[in-house]
Amino acid sequence: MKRYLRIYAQLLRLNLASLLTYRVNFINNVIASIGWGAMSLYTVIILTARVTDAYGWKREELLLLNGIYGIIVGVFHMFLSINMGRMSRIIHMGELDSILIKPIDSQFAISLWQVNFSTVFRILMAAGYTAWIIHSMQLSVSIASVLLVCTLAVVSLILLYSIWFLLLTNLMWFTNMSNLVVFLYSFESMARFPKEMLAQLSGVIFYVVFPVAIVINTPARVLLNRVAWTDILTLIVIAVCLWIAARKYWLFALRHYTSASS
Amino acid sequence: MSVNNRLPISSQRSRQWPKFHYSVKRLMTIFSLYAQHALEYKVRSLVWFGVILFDVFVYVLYWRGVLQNGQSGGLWTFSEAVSYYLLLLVAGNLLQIHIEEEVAFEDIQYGRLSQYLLRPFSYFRFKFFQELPWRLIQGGFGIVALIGISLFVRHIVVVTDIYAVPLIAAIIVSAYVLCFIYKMIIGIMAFWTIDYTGLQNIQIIVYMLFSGMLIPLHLLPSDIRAFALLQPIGYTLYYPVRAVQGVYTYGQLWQILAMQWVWMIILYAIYRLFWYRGLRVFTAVGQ
Repeated sequence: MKRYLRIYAQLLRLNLASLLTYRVNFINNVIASIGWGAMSLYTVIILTARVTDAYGWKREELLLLNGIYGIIVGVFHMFLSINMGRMSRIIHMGELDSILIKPIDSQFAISLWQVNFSTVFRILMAAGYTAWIIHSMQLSVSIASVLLVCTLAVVSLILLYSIWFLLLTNLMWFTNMSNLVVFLYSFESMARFPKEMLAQLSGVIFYVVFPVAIVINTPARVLLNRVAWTDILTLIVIAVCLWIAARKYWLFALRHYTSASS
Repeated sequence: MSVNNRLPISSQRSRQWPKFHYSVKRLMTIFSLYAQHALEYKVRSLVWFGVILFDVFVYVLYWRGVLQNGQSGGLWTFSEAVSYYLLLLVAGNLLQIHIEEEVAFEDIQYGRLSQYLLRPFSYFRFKFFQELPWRLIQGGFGIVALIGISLFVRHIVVVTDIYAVPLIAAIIVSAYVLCFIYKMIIGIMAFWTIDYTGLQNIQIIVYMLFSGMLIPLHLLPSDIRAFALLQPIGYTLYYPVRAVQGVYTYGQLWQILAMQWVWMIILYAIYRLFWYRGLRVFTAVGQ
């Protein structure tokens, strides 16, 4: 564990060095990141402009849900999704060998190699927006609830990562589908809507989208004092199960990697 | 006086005809080559189709919850919302061009444009016929999905006036060309950027907001609605979808078509200007 922390610290240093080398690139990415954050928030503002409530959520509550979404997804894009894009490219081009021969765990190397520092601004923007909404809604937020939200946010990140990683592992067999990453961005954006909305879906489809539905809803419900212990437990259990499944599936998929590109 | 000018007019025409014939043949060859390519990678098209399907699906679900309470100020009904988003599923796949990334990254930034410049045909036309098969395949997925969904969903409202169909077809074709010119302009902006990613992301945001992908432009807040309804991006998706829904009179349909042509002329002039200026700064060794 200590060794991996040391390696990760070194990776962070390398990413920072790359950032300082390509500064114009960084500025471009900052603008794009802030743009996406603003777009995500503006989407809900537009969708709720003439609406007082949807699926039992008031307009302000929907805005709060999106603020939390901005923070959690921002962190996910900063540390994880950037590597998922890289993973699809690496598998598609048949370059996974260069990772497999390294004397470290392949899942670690493929999941945490890059860091997108420009997303910090998106996270800060979402955090500021969330704080403003909480203030305007006059919600009473205790330190305990903030700690619980932070813990659940970490669990949500594990769950999001597991979903992405499980689906992208399929690229070992379907190398042409490297644009699956774009689909996952779209799939993930479902998390910014109320869980009750997705409950409208019938049977199988609901169970497919359910893990994404609880990723943001559960921490947001904590702030709104609407969470039940069963919600928290469900989130943790699903996150742990999918994490284990993602790990096992990756190890299984490695046995089928052909080293040839698509 | 050149030799051609001394020939009788009928003879000049007969000489121009083979030239035109070969030009069409060449473009058809490009089309069929890329059609093979698109068919080979049809799974990728399916994933792209899935992206739009998912977005549409989420918005329909959202509006279902909202309109159950009789909200949205009476501006639209659930039937209209379902029709709009399902038609958007077809339009988004058929009319939303994705050529800009290839133009920017592969052709300009990696320097592959020089290959096209050496060939005896227009880069613009080449890209147009390269993109067309992809759109037709993805649009095909959209049409199949729309037909399948309409068997179960009774809310889909489309134009019933048969005489308006040719005019709407012209609007759809014009929307395709307009979107193509717009995306080509975005792509060739890479002549002046070292890293295109930021610009591409900003472009996606602007397109999503002003094309009607997110919400119909007439439902946007009043402060941006007037602008959104006038700008060219709206004519690439929003107006064609609304036209197929049958909400416009003949006069309005002609007006939309005229505006599409005005925007096409303006954008094509901008494209030509940027293209010739860009070529002067293109180094042919990548950016």
